[in-house]
Amino acid sequence: MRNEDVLARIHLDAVLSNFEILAREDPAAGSIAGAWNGSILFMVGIAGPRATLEINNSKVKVMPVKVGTPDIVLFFPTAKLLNNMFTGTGVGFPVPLKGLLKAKGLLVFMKLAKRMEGILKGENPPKELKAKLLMNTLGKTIAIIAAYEPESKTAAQSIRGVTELRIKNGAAVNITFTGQSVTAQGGNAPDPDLVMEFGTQDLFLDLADDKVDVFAAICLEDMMLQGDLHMGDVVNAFLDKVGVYLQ
Amino acid sequence: MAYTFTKSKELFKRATKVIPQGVYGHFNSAPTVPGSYPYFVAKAKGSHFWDVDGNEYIDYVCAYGPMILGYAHDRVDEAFAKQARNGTATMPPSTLLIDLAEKMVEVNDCADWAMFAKNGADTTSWAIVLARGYKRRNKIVLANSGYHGTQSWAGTNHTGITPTDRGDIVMVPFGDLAAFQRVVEENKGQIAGAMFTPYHHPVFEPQVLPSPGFWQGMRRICDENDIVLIIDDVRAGWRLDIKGSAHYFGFKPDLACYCKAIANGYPISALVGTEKMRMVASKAFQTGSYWNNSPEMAAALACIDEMQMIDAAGICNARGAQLRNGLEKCAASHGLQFKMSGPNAIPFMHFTNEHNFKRAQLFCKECSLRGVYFLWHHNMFISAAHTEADIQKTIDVADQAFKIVKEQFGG
Repeated sequence: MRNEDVLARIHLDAVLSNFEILAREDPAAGSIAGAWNGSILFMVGIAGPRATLEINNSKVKVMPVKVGTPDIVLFFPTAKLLNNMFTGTGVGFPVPLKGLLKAKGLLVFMKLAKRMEGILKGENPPKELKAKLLMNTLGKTIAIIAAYEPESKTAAQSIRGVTELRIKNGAAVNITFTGQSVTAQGGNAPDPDLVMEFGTQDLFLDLADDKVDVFAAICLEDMMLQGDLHMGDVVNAFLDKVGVYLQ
Repeated sequence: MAYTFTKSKELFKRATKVIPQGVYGHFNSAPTVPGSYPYFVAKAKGSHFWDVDGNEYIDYVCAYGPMILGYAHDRVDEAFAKQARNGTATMPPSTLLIDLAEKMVEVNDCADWAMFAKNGADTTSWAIVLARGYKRRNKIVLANSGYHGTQSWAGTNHTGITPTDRGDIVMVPFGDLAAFQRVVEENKGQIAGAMFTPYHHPVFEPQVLPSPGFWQGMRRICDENDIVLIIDDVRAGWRLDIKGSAHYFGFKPDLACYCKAIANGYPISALVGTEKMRMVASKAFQTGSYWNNSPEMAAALACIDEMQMIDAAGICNARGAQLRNGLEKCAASHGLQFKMSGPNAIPFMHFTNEHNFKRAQLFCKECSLRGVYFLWHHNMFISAAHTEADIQKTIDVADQAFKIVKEQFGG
């Protein structure tokens, strides 16, 4: 079952951080971001998760806290309202606490969101960029599920080490489990305890679309699973839940 | 000549077109080292099997336990074949049903009666039904990381399982008598049964033997609280002691579940129990289409009789000790920190200076490529068909594999 607080964290971290990659690697998105300099703070409730999205000279930076004095503050009384806005379902309007007159910033944000949706869900997207975005989403979503979803949190506390998801010679993300915390970051880890390697970009994209028989792919050596498979078993349960949160 | 797996891979591709996972469940080779292990077997005899590419292996998996006397065992196979010619699934059943129940009561220390099914999971689920029926309570205590099958209550799967499926399951660490006592106090009058394996044999972890007094303590707490003590002896049964693993560890459960080695590979399982559980067993309706098939019963009778005659558990222990000592000594000579845990007959291998199994995976891969079929993630199984020569050849192969591990990891 979907936990709205967990989903809000996924939206504010795994999804928003994709804007950084998008603005950096997609010229069209970079051009959209270039139309405005400023920052937007997303707030859920009084003590819920936050994120600041900062746009500066076509570059986007997302931080999981309030940073400086944001130009626009979007306050969502509940996680569900924020989630509705991100998924475009139900009632999802925030309470704009600040920046009512800075409509341009919101327009840029919405255009970036539309551009990202086009790459992730559109016909004939640039595959390399799509794979990078999905790898980032996957890694960070796994980390959030493991860190915040009550039953997953218990399972995550039983494993220690670094899991790396990677496309052979391509995008990678690594997730560190310490027993107390779970964090994900882009790129390869120096000596991961568990490696889940996809032989091709297409295979990874198919996996993200839930079109890959993983056990078969491993036996056919299209996918490689090496190292701490006990950790792999636990991570696989988190991976399975990604689809519950992100359709 | 180096082993290759061309036909195995071609066949696996063919399988994936019509079978999810290609090969499913614990028979899928994903946890081995794909590319260095076979996917399909052509034939098997004694302690060896040959894959579809013609590679020969000394087998230390024994189908995850069912094979104990050796593959294609003449006496057991003939008993099965002879009975099959007299009909298989009949209503009413064959008198072999009585013969086999009498045999179980004769050999098993806690069996005052016996009933039969097909798989281990049939009997663990059946045992839970009886435990719940005994005092009309709901909760069942299991050990963390214990394995009792893939049923929704057993917690092995994370796909298609709801919280309700596990709502009456209480987990405790294996071997922790104080934790069990605490759970009993916290759930006073609600716990129907406690199901454990006779020693802890999780995957991906060294095996844990019960500390002295643990089982006697469990027996006492269960008796004081009217809790049915169930032993899942599906995996270890017949390899430690023909009288049951509970007898080996010096206690008597109320119910015990058997499968795997009971018929040397033919599909049959058994639930046995003490007098105390007879009445509730007489009330519960449990059955399956093939549960009373007679050829499997004939095979089980022949297998149990043969195990008694040759002291199969004793042979498994002796060969296992030879393997353990040989491998540990060989690894040490290469400067590697390698240990085998668990009973000699059902050992688990690991390198003590790693937790991510990378050395173990390389070691198993190199052994597989030289004709020794080991597992790194799961306990292995020694059979009465393994010869001293098999073990010596295995140690010779391991010597080469350890050398490669040493070269790659340095220690």
